Amino acid sequence: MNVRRRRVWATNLVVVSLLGIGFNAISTAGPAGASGGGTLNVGFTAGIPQLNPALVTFSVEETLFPLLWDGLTMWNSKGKIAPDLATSWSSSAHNQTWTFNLRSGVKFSNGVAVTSADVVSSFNYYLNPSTPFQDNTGLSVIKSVTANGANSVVIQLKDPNASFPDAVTPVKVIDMAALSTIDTNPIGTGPFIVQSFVPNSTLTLVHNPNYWGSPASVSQINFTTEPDATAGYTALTAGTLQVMGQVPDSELTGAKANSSLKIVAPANPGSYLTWETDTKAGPFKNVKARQALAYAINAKAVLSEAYFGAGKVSTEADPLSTTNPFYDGKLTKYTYNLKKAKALFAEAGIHKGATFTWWTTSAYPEWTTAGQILQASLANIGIHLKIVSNDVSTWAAKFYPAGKSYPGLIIPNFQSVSGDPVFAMTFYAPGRCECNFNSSAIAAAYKTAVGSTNTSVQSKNWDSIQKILNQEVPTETPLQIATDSIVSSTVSGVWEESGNQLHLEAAVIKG
Amino acid sequence: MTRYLVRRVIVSVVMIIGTSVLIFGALRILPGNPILTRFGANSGVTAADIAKIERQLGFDHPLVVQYWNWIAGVFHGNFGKSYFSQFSVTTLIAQRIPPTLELTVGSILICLLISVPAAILSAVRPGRSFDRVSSMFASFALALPAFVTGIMFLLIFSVHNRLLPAGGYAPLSKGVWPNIRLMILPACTLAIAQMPLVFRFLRGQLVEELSASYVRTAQGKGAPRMRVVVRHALRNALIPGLTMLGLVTGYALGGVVVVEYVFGMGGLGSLAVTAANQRDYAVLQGTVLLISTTFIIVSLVVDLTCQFLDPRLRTQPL
Repeated sequence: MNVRRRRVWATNLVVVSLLGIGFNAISTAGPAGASGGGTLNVGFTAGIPQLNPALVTFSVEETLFPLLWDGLTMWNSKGKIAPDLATSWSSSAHNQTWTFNLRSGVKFSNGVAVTSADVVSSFNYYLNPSTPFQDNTGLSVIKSVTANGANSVVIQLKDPNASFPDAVTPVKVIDMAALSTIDTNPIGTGPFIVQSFVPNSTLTLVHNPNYWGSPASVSQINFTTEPDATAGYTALTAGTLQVMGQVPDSELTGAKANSSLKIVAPANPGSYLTWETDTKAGPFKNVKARQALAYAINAKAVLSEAYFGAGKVSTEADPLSTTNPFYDGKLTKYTYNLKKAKALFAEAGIHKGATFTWWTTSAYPEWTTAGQILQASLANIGIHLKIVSNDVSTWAAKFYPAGKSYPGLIIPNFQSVSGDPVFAMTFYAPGRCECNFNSSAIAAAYKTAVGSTNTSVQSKNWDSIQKILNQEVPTETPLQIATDSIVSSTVSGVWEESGNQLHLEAAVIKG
Repeated sequence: MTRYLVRRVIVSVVMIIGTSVLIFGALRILPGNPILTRFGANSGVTAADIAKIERQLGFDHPLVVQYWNWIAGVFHGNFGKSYFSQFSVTTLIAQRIPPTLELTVGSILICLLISVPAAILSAVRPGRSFDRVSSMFASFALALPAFVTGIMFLLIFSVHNRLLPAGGYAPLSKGVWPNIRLMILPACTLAIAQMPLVFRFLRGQLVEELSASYVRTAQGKGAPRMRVVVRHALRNALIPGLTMLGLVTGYALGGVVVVEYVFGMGGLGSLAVTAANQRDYAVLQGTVLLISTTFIIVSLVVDLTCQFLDPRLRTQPL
C-alpha cells in the first residue's frame, strides 16, 4: 500500500473513532434532561422468568406487581395497608365476612372495564388447586368469593381473621380472558404495560394509556438481568443503570462512599435469618442441642463479617424484630457463650468429635461466610462442622418441602415478611416449617390472635408463641437483616417494603 | 469422496444422539428438579403437592419413556416448554440466538483480521522484533482467561473512562451504532482468547511452507516476495488452517458462556446457565443440543471442505 493510501486509511480511522466517541458521549448523557420523564434502567441479578403474578417464582418478580397489576389492597411506604382497587372494606362482627368496595372507572390496559366479576374470577384462579400459587397460606382461610353488585365483592372465611386485608395483597386482578397470553401481552390495571419481554434477560415497560390513576413520572422502565452484583454495581457506577435491586451487603460499602449513589432500605425491615435443623430426627431432635447451637452462634461476627454490618443481632430465636410493637422483651437471650453451648451439647449426648453439616448454596455467599464463623466457634468445643455448598436446586431438594428428614444438617435460610406478626408466625404453623416443628399450642394461639381485633388478645397470643419459639428454638434466628437496593442520586421516589419488595411506580428522574 | 461423506455424516448423527443422551441423563442425575426450584423453600406446599405436579409433568415416568417423549418431540420440531416461563424452547432460543451469533461471528472475524496478517508478517521475518513481540503477546493472551480480559476492558472503557457501556445488547433493529457499541468489547474479549490459537498455528504452517522448494523456485523466477507468500504459501498453509477454524468456532461457542456472563448479554450461554441452575430441563436440553449440533455440523463442513480443497487428504483413512 503506498504512503498516500496509508494516510487516507489512518485519517478515516481517526474520524470514525472520534465519531464513535462523540455518539457515545451523547448516548450516555443520562435518561432525562429535565425533572420527570425519561427511562429508568433497573438491574437485578435474578432474572424475571415469567409475568403471571399468580405464578411468581422469585422475589424479583414482585417488583412488577405495582407496575403492571393492582389488587384489592396494597402496602404503602409506611408499612401500612392501603386501598388499591378497593377504596374501602368492612367486616362482620366476628371478622369472618369481608366486603370490599371497588374503585369505579377502572379499566384493564386493553380498555375493558373492570368489574366485581373480574375480581371474583381472579380470586378463584388463585384459589384453584391447579394454580401453583406460592403464597397460599394467607388465602387458605377463604371459603368463598362472590360479587355483590358490579362494584363490591364479598369474601367469606372459614375462620375469623382480623388481618384479612393484609392477606389479599398478593392477589392481583387479572384479565382472565387473556390468561393464555399473559407472558407475551399481560393485561392488568397497573400504570405500565409490557412493550417487550425476553425471559430472564430483559423486560421493557411503557405507560398504560388506560391507567385509572395519575401517569407515572418515568416514561419507560427497562429491566435487565445482571450476571452478578459486582457487574450490576459496575453498571451503576458507569451510568448504564440507575437502580440495582436487592444488592448483597458486600456491595453496600462502596455505594455508601459514592456520592452519586444512595441506598434504599425498608423503613421497617421484616427479614430475618432462619437456620433450620430437623427437630424430628438426628442430634437436633433434642431441644438442648438446638439451644446449645444458639449459644454457639457468634451473631456479632456473622453480622460484621458476613453481612457487613447491615442488620441487627437477634439472640432470642424470635422472628419479630425488637422494634415490632408485638415483640416480647422478656425472653431468654442466647448470647454467644461456648461454655454453655458445650454443656448443653453434652446434656444432649453430643460430645467432642461429633460432626454436623452446614448445607448451603453458592447463590448466597454470605451464608458460606456465616458457616465458616460457626465452624470456627464449634471447633473450639471440639465439634466439627462440614461445609457443603450446592446450587439452589440441590440445596432445596435436601430439606424441602416440610416433612423431609435431614439429621445432622444445619441449613441456612431466611424469611422476608411484612411487619405484621401474622406473616412471620405463619412459618411456624404445623406442617409449614421445614424444621418439622409442629406445636398445637402455637396453632391455637395463632388462630386466636388472627381472629381478634383486640390488641390485648393479639399481644397475649403473639407473646405466647414467641415464648414457645424462644424455649424450643425450632430455628436459629441470629440476625434481623435487610436486603437493600442502590439507586442513583438522580432518582427519587424509590422505596422498599418490609419484605424487600422494590417499588418503582413513584420513581422520578431528576434533571 | 462419497464414501467419506456418508461415513462422516453417520458419525456426526451418532455424536448428536450421544450428546442428547448425555445431557438428558446428566440433568436427571443431579438432585432437585424445576418444581423444587420454583417453590424454593416456600412454606405452604406439601410433599403431596410436589408429587402431584411431578405427575402432571410426567416426571414419574421411567427415564427411557421421558427421553423418548422428548427426542420424539425434537424430531417434530417441538423442543418442549420452559417450566418457568411457559415459553416454547424454540421461542426462547430464537430470542437469544442473535447476541450469541453476533458475538461468535464477530469475534472470529476480529480474530482472523488480526491473526492472519500478524502470522504472515511474523512468518516472513521469523526471529525479528515483530515476530518476537507477536509471539509474546500470543502466549500472554493464551494464559489470560477470557473473564479477566473482559473485566479489564470494562474497567478501562466503561467504569473509568465511560467510553463504552458496561454491558447489555442492542439488536440491529435498534440501530447499527448502538449494536456495535455494545458488541465491540465482548467481541474483542472473545477474539483475544482465540487469536493465539490461529496465530501460532498459521505462523507455524507458513514458516514450513516458506521453506518449501516451490517457494524458492518462485522467488528464483523473480516473483515479488509478498506475492509468493500470499498467492502460494498462504493458500497451502490455509488448508490445515481450516481445521483450526473449526476448532476455533467450537472454542468460541464455549467461550460465549463466559463472555455473555461478564457483559450481561442475554445470549444462549446465559440461557443455558440459568436453565442449569433452575433445572429447567427442556430449555437446557434444547440449548445444549443446539450448540453441540452446531459444532458438529461446523466440524463436518470444515472436514469436507478440506477434503475438497486438498485431494491428498481424500486418499487418507477417516
